[in-house]
Amino acid sequence: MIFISLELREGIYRKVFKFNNKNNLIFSDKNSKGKTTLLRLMLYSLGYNIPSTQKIDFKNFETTLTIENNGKQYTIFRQNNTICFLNNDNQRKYILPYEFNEFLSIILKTENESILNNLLGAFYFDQEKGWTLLNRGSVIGKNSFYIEDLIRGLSNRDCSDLLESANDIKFQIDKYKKMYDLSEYKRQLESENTVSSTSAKELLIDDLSIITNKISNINKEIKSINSILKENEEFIKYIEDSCISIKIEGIDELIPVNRQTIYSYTDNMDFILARKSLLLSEKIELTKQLSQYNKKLKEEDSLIDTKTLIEEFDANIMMIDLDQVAVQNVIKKLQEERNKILKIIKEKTKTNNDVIQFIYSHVKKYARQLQMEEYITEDKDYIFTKELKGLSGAVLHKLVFIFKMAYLKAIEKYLDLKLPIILDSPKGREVDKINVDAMFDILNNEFSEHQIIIASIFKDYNMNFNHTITIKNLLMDGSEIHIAKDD
Amino acid sequence: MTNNRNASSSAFGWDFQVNSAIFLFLKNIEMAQNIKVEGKKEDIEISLNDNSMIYAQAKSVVDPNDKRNLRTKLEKAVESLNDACDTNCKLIYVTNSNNPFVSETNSFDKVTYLKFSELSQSEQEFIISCVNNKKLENFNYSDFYILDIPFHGEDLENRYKYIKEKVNDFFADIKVSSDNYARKILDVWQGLFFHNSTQNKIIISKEEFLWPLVVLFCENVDISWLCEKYEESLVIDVFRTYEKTIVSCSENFKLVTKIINKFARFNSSQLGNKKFLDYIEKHYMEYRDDIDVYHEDPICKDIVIQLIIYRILCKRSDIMKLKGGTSL
Repeated sequence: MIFISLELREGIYRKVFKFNNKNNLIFSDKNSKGKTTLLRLMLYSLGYNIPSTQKIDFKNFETTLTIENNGKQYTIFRQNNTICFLNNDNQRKYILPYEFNEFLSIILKTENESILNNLLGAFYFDQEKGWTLLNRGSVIGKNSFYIEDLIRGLSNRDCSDLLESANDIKFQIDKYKKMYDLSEYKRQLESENTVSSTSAKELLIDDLSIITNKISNINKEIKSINSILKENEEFIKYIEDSCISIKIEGIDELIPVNRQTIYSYTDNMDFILARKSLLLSEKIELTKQLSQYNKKLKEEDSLIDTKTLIEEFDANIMMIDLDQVAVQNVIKKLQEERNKILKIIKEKTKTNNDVIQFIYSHVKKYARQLQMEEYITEDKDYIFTKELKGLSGAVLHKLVFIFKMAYLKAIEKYLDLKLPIILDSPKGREVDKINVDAMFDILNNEFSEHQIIIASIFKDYNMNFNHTITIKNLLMDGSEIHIAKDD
Repeated sequence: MTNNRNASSSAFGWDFQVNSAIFLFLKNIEMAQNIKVEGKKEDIEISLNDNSMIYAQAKSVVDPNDKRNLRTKLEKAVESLNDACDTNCKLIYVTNSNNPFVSETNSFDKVTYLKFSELSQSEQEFIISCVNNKKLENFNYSDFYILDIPFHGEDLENRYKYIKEKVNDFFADIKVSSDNYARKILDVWQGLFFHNSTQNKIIISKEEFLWPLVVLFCENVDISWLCEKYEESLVIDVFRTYEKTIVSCSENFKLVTKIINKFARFNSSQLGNKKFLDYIEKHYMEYRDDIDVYHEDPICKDIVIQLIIYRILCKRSDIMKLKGGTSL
């Protein structure tokens, strides 16, 4: 497959990029000029679900891409989520991303979804993720690559039913895991005792009413005491107003009968006043407590919106009857079942599969050329390796290149399809010139019949570029102003 | 010239100061007239009825084994107490340290109250050196005392242990049964002093200090003696229903004076509580018109009357004991 040209229209602006069928360089002397954007627009115009770059929204573009595959030219028009062929008997518009594979299969002459879903990861090296995607992972946006899937596709081993079952079981496992999380949450609630039949606010209101009640009782008592004091005062006043005196034999002086001289009057008064004083002290303390509780209640009220939702949620959770152990057992059984299916899929994929051997042998070959043999084990299952953590930036960079070149060779052999090789910033941050040159040697020697498109701020690659697109300032710089005609 | 040495204390220091005040007031209750905590001159100021004063400085340590700055505190206290005293006063340094002089010949063990002459030689020498260093010309050694009260711990039961002991000793002195009142009255007194300290001009009188004790005693008047005469459930039921009426009537002076004066003229071979019961048994019917209690059942009315009379007599007795024991 070869990119021939790409016409971009953004509003009234139009620009056309042409490509050579061999080696192309998209160059700018500085970063952030639009090289990556151009590469991504090329893929976008082919129908791939590619995220926009900063400041440019691909949805605002109408793209017309001309490509050639197996001697046939295709002109593809894309506008937002619809794509169609312009020079084809097929007038149908395809809705993206749902009908993308159906669309792509017309160009590539294969309906094998395992292949169609995993091509992008083989031929496109994205600036960000492309140089760390070895055999599984995200290519760009929602596009992903799985070596097992590609191998199944190339070897025509259909495991779609099994994969569907495995996915269904995974879906169930996820659901049960959520149930388990809920039951765990409920268990925590129970142990923390945070949820009871009464909310924090209700407890506060309870305490408040107890204190209010106590204060009310004290007020009644004080009222009663005041009534007694009044009665006693009236009594003693009556006596004093009567001006009664006492004459004691042997003492000349008359002793007046008043509150000072009446036996136990002052004691009685002192007692009553002491009782009143104690009640008043108690009332002061209770009033302070009341004030504090009222303050807390106001604070509770200010949180009420969020807290009410959380409280409601917690209360509902508490009502759910979940047997945590039973859920765990179900999860375990489902996982076992899924693992069995995955094992079958694995066996179906790997047993007597020439594609695996083919890819492995090419990985070894290119590793030799890049002096990376020490990283490749003798087991062909090495191509399924998941051990990437210990690999340095430069080592991984080269391994990724090796693996993808091997994929491209396998796609070429088993599908008779030479895909264009698109590399965004092949120098990377950590790879020295010797290694870059070695990589380009492989491209020159092994992939001379593939279209190669490089985007870089460097020109000094070990490659003769047949065509260079220079972006000086912005992608749409120098574009024509074009009023679109209705076709 | 008296320097203003009023200072706010940390929570623990303040707690110690308040409880030291209670301790000292109880210790001097017969002669005391009033007390001030955080007074103008000193931490604790007690006026006595012979016009003399007790000035006390209360200095605490959270950890009784902490020896830092103890001697410095003591030196400053000596100076402060000297400044406070004009004429005729007792000066007391109150501490909770188990060795306030950091001395090898420590005179202090548990609650210890020593005058100057009872201190060990090295301790006396230290006081003398303080007086000399500060040039306190009028310092009267014979008026100087040190009171050590163990007071520490997060647990309040432990912290107030020796204060409660002092309260119980006080109850014993006035011949009142303590019956767990110590903790309750301590709460009341601590509250009284706290309230007092926040208002600089208020002084707590002996009456204000002691009357809450009588109120507390009256809260738990025994009613079991009536259960020998009437059914227990009936007595309890009547008591609960008419508790407020009983309290209110027992404070009505017209009734109080009638009962206590009639009782004063009552002759009986019984003593104390038994004399009360004897009087009630023989005379309670005379008060049926004085005490207005509505009840269909006349027995219930009689129970209320007897409870009122008993409360009045018990209250009177408690007041007399308190007054006798404290010169109130």
